[in-house]
Amino acid sequence: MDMFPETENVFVEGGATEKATYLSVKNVTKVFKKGFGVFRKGQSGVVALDNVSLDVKKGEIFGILGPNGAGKSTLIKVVTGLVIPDSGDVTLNGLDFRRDKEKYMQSVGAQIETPVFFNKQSGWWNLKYLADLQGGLPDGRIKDIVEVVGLSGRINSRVGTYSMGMRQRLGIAQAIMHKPEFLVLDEPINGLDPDGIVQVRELIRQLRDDYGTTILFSSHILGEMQTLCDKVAFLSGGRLVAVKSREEIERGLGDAAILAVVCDEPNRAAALVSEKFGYRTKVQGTTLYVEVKGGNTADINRLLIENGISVVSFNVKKRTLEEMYKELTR
Amino acid sequence: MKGYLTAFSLECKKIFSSKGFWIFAIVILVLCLIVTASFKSLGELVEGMDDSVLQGGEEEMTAAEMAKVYEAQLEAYRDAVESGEVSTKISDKTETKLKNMIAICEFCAENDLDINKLITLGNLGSLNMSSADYVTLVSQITFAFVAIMAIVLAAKVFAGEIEDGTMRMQLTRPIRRSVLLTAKHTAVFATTMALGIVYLVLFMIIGAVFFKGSLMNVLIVDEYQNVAVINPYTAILLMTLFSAVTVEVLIQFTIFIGGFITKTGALAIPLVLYLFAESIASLLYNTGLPWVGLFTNLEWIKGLTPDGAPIKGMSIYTMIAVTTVWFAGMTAANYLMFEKRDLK
Repeated sequence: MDMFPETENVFVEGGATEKATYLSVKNVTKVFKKGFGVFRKGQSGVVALDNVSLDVKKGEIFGILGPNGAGKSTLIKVVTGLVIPDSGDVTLNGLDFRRDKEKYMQSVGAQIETPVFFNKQSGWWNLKYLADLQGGLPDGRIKDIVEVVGLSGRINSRVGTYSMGMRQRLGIAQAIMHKPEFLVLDEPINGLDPDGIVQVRELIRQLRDDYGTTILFSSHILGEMQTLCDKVAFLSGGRLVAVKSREEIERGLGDAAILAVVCDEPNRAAALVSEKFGYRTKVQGTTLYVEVKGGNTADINRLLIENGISVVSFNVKKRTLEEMYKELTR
Repeated sequence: MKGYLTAFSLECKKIFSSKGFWIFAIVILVLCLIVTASFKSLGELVEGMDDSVLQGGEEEMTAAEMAKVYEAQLEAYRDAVESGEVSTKISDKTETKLKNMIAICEFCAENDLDINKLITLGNLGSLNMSSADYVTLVSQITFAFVAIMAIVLAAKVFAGEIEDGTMRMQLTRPIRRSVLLTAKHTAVFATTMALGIVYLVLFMIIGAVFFKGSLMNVLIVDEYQNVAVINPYTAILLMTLFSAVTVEVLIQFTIFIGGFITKTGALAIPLVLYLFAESIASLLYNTGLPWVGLFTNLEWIKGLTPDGAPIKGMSIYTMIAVTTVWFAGMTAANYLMFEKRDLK
């Protein structure tokens, strides 16, 4: 169903096709020191973000990837104004958070970490409360969003009785109910069942494709990043290691592969391949492993046959995003 | 302004929809009704006895005659102290009390006031209490509980919401932190004071119906025997105002503490300090030390007499000025704390 059927589509104008910078993070550094304010103990602390800069274009789905403690959540909290950076600037559509918080947050919808609500109140009460803080939304729209996230049957139950997946759905509902131009989702599929994951994935795509919503999201699930994101930022130890577009990721994954060749003379084959192509090789029993970068694996096959080596099997194992992620964040 | 009003009404709605608020409200009401029933039954018991036994025939005396009686008592008391029959540890307070009674009697005689139609604020020794005595007593109980309730609510809506993560959800809305903080602060103040005032009105009605006479003028006398007469409504208004100051102090302190530590700490520290200060004040009240008055609301009312303020020479306007400066400083500290606070 359509998410916002009764309202005009405010997202189409300048939507997905326009590629102007929407979110700009410049040289953001954040160190969590021990203590607070005047009670801080010395200058030591945990560097959560170290001079991080990135641009998110309008209508993009931008993923943030990194191991635990990499600074993903801190970056998301800096963008949503929950954590105050020590230095650097964050602007959204030209608006500085520190100067124009109300206008800035007007266009933001956010779900940070595990969604937390007033547990003793119902899901509807919580959505209504947050909608009122947003400046007021018609009940009809909240009802539609509840239906979109599949919570209609339980929306009047106390949130304390909800499962983790239901809380995630409610979290997504509160983040999108006011039709934000910019959606921030921190681990949105945590705790969701397979159906829920598919629904959320579809929802994210629908928001971007139909409404031009710019989406920043973090996830530990690498496949999710590969499937959904236009760009992925790799964070490690608070530093931004790389930002790769989907094309770059696909090319990177396509270029690199491990070739496993079972043949009668693996040692001679290894020498030939190393000499001709300069690739790294390793022999285990009758199997030759070749680390191929950017080349054509058919050329290797041809080389071996021309030199009279009988090839029993020839398997190409492409580099996964996980391997790429490990290399980048190592 | 619209953002503030929305947030304020939402905070009030949140407080009113919490069971804790109503449990507290019922506890205060039940406690005060028990006090009412006890004093009413004791009062009826006392009324059946001989007035002369209970009150020494004071009602028959004029103010000037009464002054002479107290002067004689003071003389006898001083002799007893000199001869070592009475401990000097309590002599100052007893002497002050007798001097105060003489000052009140002389004040009434000079101003042609019927001493039997006046009461002294805080004179709760009589079992056969007047409606004003009753209202004073139950209001003190009510506002003491209201102050505790303010601490509990302030810890819940600030430190509690930071701790459980619901504050994060609220701050991802287009509302300034300062506006949200003001809304939470004023909502706790408004809801607790509203309850206090509703109860005050209720107890005034109960006092008028079940206790002696209507509310009477109140005489205030300080330790320097300055006497002032104020009407009972002004006295109740002032007491409410000073209770409001206490509630406000506690809310601001609880919010400030809540910016640094967990909800439990933000609840426990102000609560312990408040109860400790009140207990110390009660214990030291009879010592007559002027600074003890700083802890008690009741003493602030003595700012209406020239020398009776907690610090000698302070007028009620000085006290209001000091309170205002303090309020501004604490508010600025709270805003600064919240603006700089990371919500991890």
